[in-house]
Amino acid sequence: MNALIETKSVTRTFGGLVAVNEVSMTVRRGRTKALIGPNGAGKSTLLNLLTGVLAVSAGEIHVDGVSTVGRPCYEVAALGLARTFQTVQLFENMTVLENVMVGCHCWTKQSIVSGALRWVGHYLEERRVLKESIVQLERVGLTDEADSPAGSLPFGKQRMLEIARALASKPKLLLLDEPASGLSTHETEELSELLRRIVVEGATVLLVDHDMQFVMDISDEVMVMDQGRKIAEGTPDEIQNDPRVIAAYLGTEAK
Amino acid sequence: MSVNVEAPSSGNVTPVARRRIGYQNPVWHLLPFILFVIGCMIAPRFADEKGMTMLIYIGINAILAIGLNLLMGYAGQISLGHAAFFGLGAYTSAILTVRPIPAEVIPGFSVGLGVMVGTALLISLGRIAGWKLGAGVVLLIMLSWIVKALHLHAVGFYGVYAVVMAVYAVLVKASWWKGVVTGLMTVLTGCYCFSSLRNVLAAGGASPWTGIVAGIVLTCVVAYLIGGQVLRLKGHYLAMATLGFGVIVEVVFRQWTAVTGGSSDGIVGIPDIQVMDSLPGFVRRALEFMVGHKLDGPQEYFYLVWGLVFVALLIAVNIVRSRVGRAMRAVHGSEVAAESLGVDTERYKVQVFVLSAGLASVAGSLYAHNAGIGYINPSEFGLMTSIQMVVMVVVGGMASVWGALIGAAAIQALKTWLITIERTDMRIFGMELKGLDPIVFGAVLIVIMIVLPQGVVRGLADLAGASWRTIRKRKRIMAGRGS
Repeated sequence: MNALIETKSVTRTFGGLVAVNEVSMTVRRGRTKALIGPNGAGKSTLLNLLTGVLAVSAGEIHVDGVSTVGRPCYEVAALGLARTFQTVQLFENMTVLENVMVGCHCWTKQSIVSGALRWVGHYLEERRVLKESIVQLERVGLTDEADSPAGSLPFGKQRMLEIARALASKPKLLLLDEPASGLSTHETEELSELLRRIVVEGATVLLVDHDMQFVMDISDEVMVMDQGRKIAEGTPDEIQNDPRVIAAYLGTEAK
Repeated sequence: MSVNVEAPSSGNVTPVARRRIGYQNPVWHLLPFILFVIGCMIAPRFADEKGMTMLIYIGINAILAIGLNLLMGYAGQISLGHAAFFGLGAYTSAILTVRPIPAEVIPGFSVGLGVMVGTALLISLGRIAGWKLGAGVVLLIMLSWIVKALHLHAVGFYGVYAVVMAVYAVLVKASWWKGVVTGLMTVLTGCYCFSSLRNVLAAGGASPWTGIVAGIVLTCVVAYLIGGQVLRLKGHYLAMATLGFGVIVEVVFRQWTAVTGGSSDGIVGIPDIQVMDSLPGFVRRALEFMVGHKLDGPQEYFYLVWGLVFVALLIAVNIVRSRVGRAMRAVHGSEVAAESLGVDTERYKVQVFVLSAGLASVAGSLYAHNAGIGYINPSEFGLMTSIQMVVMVVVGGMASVWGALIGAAAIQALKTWLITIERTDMRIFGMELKGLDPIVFGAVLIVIMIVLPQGVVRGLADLAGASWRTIRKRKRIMAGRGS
């Protein structure tokens, strides 16, 4: 089965406002898919629906063949979805390393009792967690800051830490909500490099962003949304020349 | 930033990276414990009788503060009703040891406990909530009436509960065996409670250890039931809900005179806990060597209390640096991010709430059995006590296990000092200096929050570090001018 995520006419309403309107999409394994659209198009809402942060009003979502409708966020995460947030959501009361270690939560098992009494399982698991976390920190180049509080990092590094934390959960799909916003050109390039490497290693990426150059540069597929609806889908080249997309972004000529 | 292509893609950790990270350095975790043990060993040698009493109170407060700090400082959930758990522990111990529940209350109490355990099982095992849960609880209560009316034999008892609860479970779309387990456990708890309470009544009192364990069990069940419901609330709403719970429990202590003795009598004559006789000989001799002579009552109790403080510290330190501890600190940092990483936030909030309540219950039992005092009264488990506990945590520093010790010591010292002032009959502008606790603790809370929001320990350490850096900087500037 090639589709990692499949949605069928997913709809979400907030009162009278239809934020996401009957969107059907698939995210294929090993690809990078981007979700673009003007402000208020419903991209972030769709991401929240996929990860279970918000419940769908109607429609179906399947992750790896499993329906996620009605499941709480943490169960959806355990299916292999990891995400970052539009406004960086770090655990500022913890160190950089500990942030990444929390990322390992869903593939570890030790209970509060085993932690309190330090059973053997705790030590064995802790070693694996620590190793995985350091690997992820090295990948994003934050080993030097490992013991400093997460809140003390500069913004660009906080973004990277959030990605490292998500990667520590060994996700099948990485969802990034505006990963490049607020980054410098140089940092954005590094981010693209990192994402390319992740995809080569077998992960799938779904990202929302406004930086067109970044999006067109790294994605295999682009989906465009406007006012809650999907208006176009295709390769970056196709999207750039699609009249509907141009109309959504620039408006149509007055007749 | 250096996201470089040379970095290893996956799998291997370079030794350099591992060495640079101090997360698992054992020295900084063992050292405080070693100092702590040495301190506890030699303290009785230097403390007079008054000092011993105070140290015992500090130990009891420390257990409270450590528990509440896990909840408030680490998991970020406030509780203004923790004195209720403290009181539940104290009253369970006291009632079981000296003032057994009167015969006419025992059946009702047993049914109540059984239903509580049953409800906890419905929630934890069956994941039942809302009106379905309400129906289940009503059913459990009604069953006890029906069973009583039918005059059934014990086997019939179990059978009726198991069958009816199995049917209920199927109706609310849970597995039937979960209903059976719930029904059986309800009856089992009820019957066990009934028979053991009757035995205790006949014998005129149980051993203090039974009291402590029973207190922990009762408190944890209550905390699970309350926590599961109120911890869905956040911030002010959670504070209000826990406050309400604390007030309710205090009123029960006051009004349920048949069991608790009410507020005028309280419970008197609670026995000491004898530990020394049950310890192996060499431990006893070692302790006697430390003190220099045979242990007296308070010294014996001191070692018991501080031994339990040690256990509480160990549990707290271990949990903070474990998978669950990180998860619960993550809940404090950002609940939505924690959920997105697969952390079942509600579950861990409830777990830490129950743990914290259990520790409070142990402290309560120790408070009730306190050597040479053996008296409790509902007013000791009211709102003011809850607030004092919060002040202890704040003074010691949120999210600092060892700070809780300092907080407990500071608050106890302040309390003792206030009592001394009260005794002097001093007046300021004609105002009697009596009942000052609320004023002083309120003031301490305000000052700490403004001046040292990270608590005394970390706050002073930070201040010291900052001034040290300033001094060095100034010296360097001066040296630069000189040359």
